[in-house]
Amino acid sequence: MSVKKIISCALLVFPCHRESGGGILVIMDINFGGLNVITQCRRNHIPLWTCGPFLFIIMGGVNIAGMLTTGFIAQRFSDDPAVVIISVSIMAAFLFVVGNAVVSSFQRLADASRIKSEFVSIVSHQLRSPLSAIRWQLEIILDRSTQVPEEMRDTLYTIKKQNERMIGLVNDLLEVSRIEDDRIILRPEPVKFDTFVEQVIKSYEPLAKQSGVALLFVAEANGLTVFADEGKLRWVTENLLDNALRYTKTGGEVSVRVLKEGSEGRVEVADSGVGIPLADQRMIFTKFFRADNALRLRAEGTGLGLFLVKSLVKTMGGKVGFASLEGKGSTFWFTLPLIEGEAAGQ
Amino acid sequence: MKKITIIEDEAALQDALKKAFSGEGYEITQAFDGEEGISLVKSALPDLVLLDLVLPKKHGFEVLQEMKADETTKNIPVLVLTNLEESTEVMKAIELGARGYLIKANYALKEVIAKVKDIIG
Repeated sequence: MSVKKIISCALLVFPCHRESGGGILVIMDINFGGLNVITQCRRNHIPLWTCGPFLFIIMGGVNIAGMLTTGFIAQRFSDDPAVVIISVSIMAAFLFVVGNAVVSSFQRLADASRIKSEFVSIVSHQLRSPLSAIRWQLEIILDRSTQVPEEMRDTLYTIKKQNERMIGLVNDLLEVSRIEDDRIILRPEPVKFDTFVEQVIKSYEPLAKQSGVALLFVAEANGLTVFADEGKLRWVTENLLDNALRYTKTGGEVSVRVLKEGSEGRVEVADSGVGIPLADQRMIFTKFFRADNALRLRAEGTGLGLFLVKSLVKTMGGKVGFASLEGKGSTFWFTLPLIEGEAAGQ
Repeated sequence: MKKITIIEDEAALQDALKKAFSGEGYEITQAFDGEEGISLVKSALPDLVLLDLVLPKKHGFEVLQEMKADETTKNIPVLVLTNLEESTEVMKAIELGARGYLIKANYALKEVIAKVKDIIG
């Protein structure tokens, strides 16, 4: 490997292990989210001298160089402690300056994240007013259905549907912003788990029929009560059901099971849909992530649903998981702690 | 005929609320900012107030506080109708004596009417 390549390698311009065949240089090939540090800083439009991950590596390099130099000076001038003390102090001061730059850069990242959250929150609130006005005005027009010509009614229903979709999207963005700032609002109460899930499924029967997908419900346990925010629980269940129906083709099947597992209630939503490619499974609960085959099948979608499902269930004290095989289908499940006796209102 | 005062600065929302509630047989009075709102409530003495929070001249919370401090208006039920949804705002509205807190974007007019009917019939 040439000197130029070694320097590039040290600066993480390209993955060194492919060139060096292993060895000490591999340590320097630190990848964040599949990108080397310089690419990552450039992608985020951050100058290298203020980019935290880059400065962090520089600090590591300075640290090693400082120790080697100090060791060398200590050996060379072992009879003159003043020289050793001065060299160690210079190194410490230099490390302090670089360390301070690293801390400041991470502080800037935290500030940027906070500002982004505030921005999302303000924009979302501002969007809600005109969206509410459209929703209500449309409702008034559609209520006077006898005065609306037949050919316009379908158009108005399409506008209504799109308006509701936008409201849903704004609500999701607000929820993400609250999760990120740890400001999630929960109003927990005892909820009859199995009957609640059954009701949600019933409300999806028309959509399943329209899509030509068989929708089945099996309650393997009855009389379960969980302590949860009913609105959030509805959102989670609907989201999993919506996904299952959306990615299952006509003639397929979606089945929902409610069961008791130790001290927890568990819901499983299994479909015979497109499944999730193995390579995408690791990222499936990541914000804004959408699997390749999901994107090909349906262009619309934000990739926020499963992120919110996981965050909300976790906030309510439960767990979320899935098993999937591409082309065969997926089973998503979540659990919530059960409550019994007086607390459950029994 | 039951009277409702709507305090809301968005003309399009005022218009929709007025049409919907008039259609249900309620008498409507309207205010487009907080100051106008509190004086209208004191003069009209409605059976219920629909109150937005982010208002020009006087915030909805101030309107609610002034209503609750006044003997003539303190028993008038107030339904907060807003797009703010933070837990601090919901808690504050309830602490100040609001009878309900609805997020405009998440409620159909029919549902708002049903909430009002629950309170004043």
